Amino acid sequence: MHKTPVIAIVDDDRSIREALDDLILSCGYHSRLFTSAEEYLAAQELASIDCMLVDVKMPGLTGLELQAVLNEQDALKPPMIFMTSYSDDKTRAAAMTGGAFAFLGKPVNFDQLVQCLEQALKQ
Amino acid sequence: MPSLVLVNPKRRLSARYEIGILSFAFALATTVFYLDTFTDIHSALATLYVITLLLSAETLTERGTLLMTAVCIVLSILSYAAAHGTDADLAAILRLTVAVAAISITCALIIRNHRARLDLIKFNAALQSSEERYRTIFEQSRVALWERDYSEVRASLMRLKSQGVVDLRAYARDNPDFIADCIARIPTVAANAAALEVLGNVSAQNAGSMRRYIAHDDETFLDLMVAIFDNQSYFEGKGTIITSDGTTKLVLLTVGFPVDVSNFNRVIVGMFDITERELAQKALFEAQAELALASRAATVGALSASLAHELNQPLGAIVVNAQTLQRWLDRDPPDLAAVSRSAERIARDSQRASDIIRSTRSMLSERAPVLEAMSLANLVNETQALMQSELSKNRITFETSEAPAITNVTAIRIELQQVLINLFTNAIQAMAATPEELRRISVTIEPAGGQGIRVGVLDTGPGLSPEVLKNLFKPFCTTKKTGLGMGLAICRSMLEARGGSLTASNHPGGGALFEMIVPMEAVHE
Repeated sequence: MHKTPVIAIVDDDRSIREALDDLILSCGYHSRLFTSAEEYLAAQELASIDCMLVDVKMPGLTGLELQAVLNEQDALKPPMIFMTSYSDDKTRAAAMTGGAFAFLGKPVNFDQLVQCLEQALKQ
Repeated sequence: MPSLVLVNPKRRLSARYEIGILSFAFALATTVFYLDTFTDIHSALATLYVITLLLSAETLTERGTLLMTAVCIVLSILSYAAAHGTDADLAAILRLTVAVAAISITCALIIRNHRARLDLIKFNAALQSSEERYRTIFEQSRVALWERDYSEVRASLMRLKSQGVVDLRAYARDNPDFIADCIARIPTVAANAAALEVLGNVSAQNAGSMRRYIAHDDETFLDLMVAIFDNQSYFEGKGTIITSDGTTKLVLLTVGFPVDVSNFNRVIVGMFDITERELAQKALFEAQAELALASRAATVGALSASLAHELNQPLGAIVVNAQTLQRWLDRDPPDLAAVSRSAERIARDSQRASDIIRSTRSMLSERAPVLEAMSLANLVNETQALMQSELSKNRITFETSEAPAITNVTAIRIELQQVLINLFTNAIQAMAATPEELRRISVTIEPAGGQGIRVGVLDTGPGLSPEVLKNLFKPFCTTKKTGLGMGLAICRSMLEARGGSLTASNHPGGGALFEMIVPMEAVHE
């Protein structure tokens, strides 16, 4: 049976979260929403998650710190797509070195994001 | 008893000489008395007592002279009595009368002369002590003082005047040697210790000529020459001198010109070293301006960064929502419930964006700028001082004229100062191609009807082309390679927000003229 892909959205901004949620729904996927990295780490049944859309700058743990925590864990990590308004080279390099699948600037390019998601889910 | 002092105690001649003269006078009196009494010479012999009086006048006091006169008159009368008894000889009586009159008149003259001499001595002493007091003040003063001989330079200036020179400044521009020539014509008569110290502890001989010490481009010296040329009675100005060790000092120069032209050979020149004061003031102005600029820049920077971030979230969400909405619509059949959800979120996020902008604006208007009463002339002077190095670097003459009875305005200092800095900077840049001696910024401050005060800034640049004049105050209009073109646009809106205005035109006499009208009381919400 073909399982509907589940995408985790980690962003502290409600508008962004809801817009991405609807976008993912329109692509025919499911999404799980998290308002912070901490909330994500505390959540159950993370194994079902196929891909992550993560905001870089959040209060508390940042997207990069979340990536570092996940890298230390033994469990297999889903591909991470980062989104940020501050797309400086240093942050981008840090994210890519940490194994990010993609690094997108905000506001997100809709087609780019959709393409990116499809590629990540093929993995 | 003082009344018995008959001999003048302040004798000026040696005692022996005086005794000789007195003896001679006495012998003469005795001889006259003998001849007058015992001979039959029919002439006014008694008049010869006058000689006795004159001889002893120098030695005797006033009382002594009076006594001597009395003695001489008594002797004359005795002689007459002895020779003529009680006979009424008309000729003899006339002779006696003439003699007594001569003696009395001589006495009166001697006393008058005596008193005049005493007065003279007193005046002289007063003059001497006054001169001493002046010397003491001159020597001891902590203010650098010179006595200079301006008679030659004055004569040469007056010669120029008689040759028809009217504008000395223009003459000085046309004759580059003029200033040096004038300086050479002013020898120093005397300088006090403080003066030598100001010049860097030079010896009194070296202070003779000021040639070495006056900065070559010093405008103040020319101003001083103009003051003499215009027969002014007083001069005060700020000048630059170069001390013996090569450092430059700012001095306050005061010169009081004598009323009597013949006294121009000893004119007092005072100098006060104000280098420290000026530097401190300049540093203060600069620090204030920098602080104002920095805090403004910091505010604007911080504000725009946070504004950009705040707005980015809802705007980004709106974009995603709109594109997702498109996808729901493109489905067959369209998912209208989802479309409606997307549209709702778009409306909500748009509202959020506009709320952010509104709250930013209200936060900005809460930062109440300070309204204060200020003199526009002072503000212009302060701004000039602030930009002095820029002005001198570009060799720009700066003049301010204020109409009489200009009152203070209530305004926001930093705003007006920013406008002035903008206008002065523009003027300086506009005159880059103007010959140095013609570069001038003229600021006029005058009443603008009942509206407030008009401040005009006129340069001697090429003026504004019709094209530039049309777009001058529009944002991003610039004639400069490195300029955003926001300066004048911001200046105008800043002034207009306070009830003022800013206009530009070409002056009929050449150059660009910017006029701002500052209301008496700035509008302040």
